[in-house]
Amino acid sequence: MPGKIDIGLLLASTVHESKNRLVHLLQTIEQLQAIEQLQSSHPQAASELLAMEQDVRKLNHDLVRMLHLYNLKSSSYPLQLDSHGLHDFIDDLLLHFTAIAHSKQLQLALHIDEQLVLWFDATLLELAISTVLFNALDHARSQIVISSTMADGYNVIRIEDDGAGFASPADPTMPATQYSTGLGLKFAAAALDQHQHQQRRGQLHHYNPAQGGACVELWLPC
Amino acid sequence: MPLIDYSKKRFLVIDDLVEARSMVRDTLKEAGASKIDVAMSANAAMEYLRTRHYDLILSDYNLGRGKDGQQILEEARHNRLIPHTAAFIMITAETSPEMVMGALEYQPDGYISKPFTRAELRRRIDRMLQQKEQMREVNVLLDRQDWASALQLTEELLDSKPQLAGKLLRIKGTLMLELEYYDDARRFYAAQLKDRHMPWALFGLARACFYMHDYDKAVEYLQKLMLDNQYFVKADDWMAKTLTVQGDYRGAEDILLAAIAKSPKAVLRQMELGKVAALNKDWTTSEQGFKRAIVLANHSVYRCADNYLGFIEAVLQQLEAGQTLPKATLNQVEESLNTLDNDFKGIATDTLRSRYQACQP
Repeated sequence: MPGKIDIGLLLASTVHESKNRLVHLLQTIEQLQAIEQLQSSHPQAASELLAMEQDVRKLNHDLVRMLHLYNLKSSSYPLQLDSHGLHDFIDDLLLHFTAIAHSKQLQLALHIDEQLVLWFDATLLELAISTVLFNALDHARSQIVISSTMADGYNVIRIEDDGAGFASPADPTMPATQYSTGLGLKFAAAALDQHQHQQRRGQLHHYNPAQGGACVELWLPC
Repeated sequence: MPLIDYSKKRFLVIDDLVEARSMVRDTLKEAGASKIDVAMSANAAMEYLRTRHYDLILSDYNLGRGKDGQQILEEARHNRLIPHTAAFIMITAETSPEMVMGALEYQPDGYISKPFTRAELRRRIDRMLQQKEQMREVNVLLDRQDWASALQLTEELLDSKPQLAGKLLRIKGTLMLELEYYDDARRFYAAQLKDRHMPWALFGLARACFYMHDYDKAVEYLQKLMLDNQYFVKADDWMAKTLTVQGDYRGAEDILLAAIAKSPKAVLRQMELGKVAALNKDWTTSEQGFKRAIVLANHSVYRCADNYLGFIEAVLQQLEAGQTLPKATLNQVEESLNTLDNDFKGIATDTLRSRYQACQP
């Protein structure tokens, strides 16, 4: 009688394999994009290719997030807290999003003090912020603003878009797009929850601000 | 960001895949670099590292057969082939926890995970080189092993560069241990843990306790560390070390066996197992440990007489107890005796040879 199958591990391994295949796919797309005449002779194909690249990147991000969620939940994730300049950290992260924002004609604005230093796990926070940004990119009409403030012993990173906002205030975990399931926000909340300072834990808040759009706040204890 | 002059820096790119290698090399060239060496295998990389000093090493974690990127990093840092002033960036497709295994002791300066664009890679390298620039003076002192001056400078930088606090605090703790300020180190690590749960601080606290001969506390902290992160195998090594000092050889052997199951490729751990098992008079396990250490250490700096001596001793003990061993094992004893004579002159093998002869039917 073979041992009990660990279904979680099996799923995680499958996700891992799929992710690695996606990386290969992405490399192929990049090689196609590097063909010089493509843009001039087949502009339609070039733009399809760009859309495909963005979809594959998003898919890759989702799979990576799923793996980290698995690691968090199976408590094999070794949290690595370190100090980071928040401005540069997010500025680097936005590099992943410049192409997609440009193609959607969206402005990405970063209003964060260049001197601000926070402690967090870079991998988790990058995934959490990316998750929120992917959501925002799907909904924003013209711009996404990233800023930060202090409140009650927390550093708050705020990501606002000027889209239609979260679909139902009664069920705020359901964003408006047909593809989203709210899983992303749950992940971001789990990632923040890993961050503890003294007795306080990280939190995620999201709401529709009075002036319209959607706002997600990442609260990091400091 | 202040500009980095790439043309003055020397780079080493390690990757077994040709497309990946050229992408990294092209990115460096675009940035103005001209001194770029490229290694297609771990062995080629080690050869470069032995002969040249680099400012930045970019290695893929997965290099096909043989050593992986983490093993290159560990061996090179352990043997001071990579100075503190140089940066090591690990390129990885992995999100599995194995990747960070043992990473607390010899951690790369940064990771970049696939897929990434050239722009992203360039940004990562820029940041890394800038950070190394900001830390240069401390790293120079660390390379000179001038611990006292390094500690003083670290304190100063903690005030002036808060964004580097995470790295500086780790260095500060290590320096206090190097300087044998165990009391101070213990207080420092405990204070860090009060604020944040950080494995490196718990590990430092355990080591401080060990050096202060407070073995029970060391065991307690190491246990906690092992429970938190099963892949942090260094904790297992220190646990085995502590148990050995406490005379619990059996416990130490069990810990090492478990650690080896998690991470079988570490030479030093196999050696340690060989030694601890010998203390237990568990000669079969001792033989295994030394045998694997010999294979793993082949062509590396870990190749040493102790492995061969330990292996021969473990086999002789079994033979002298009247056990029959496979022919292959006996051949290996003869090979090992010859290796000692040929490669490790100055070590007398006469006694071992006569003991071995006495066991022959």
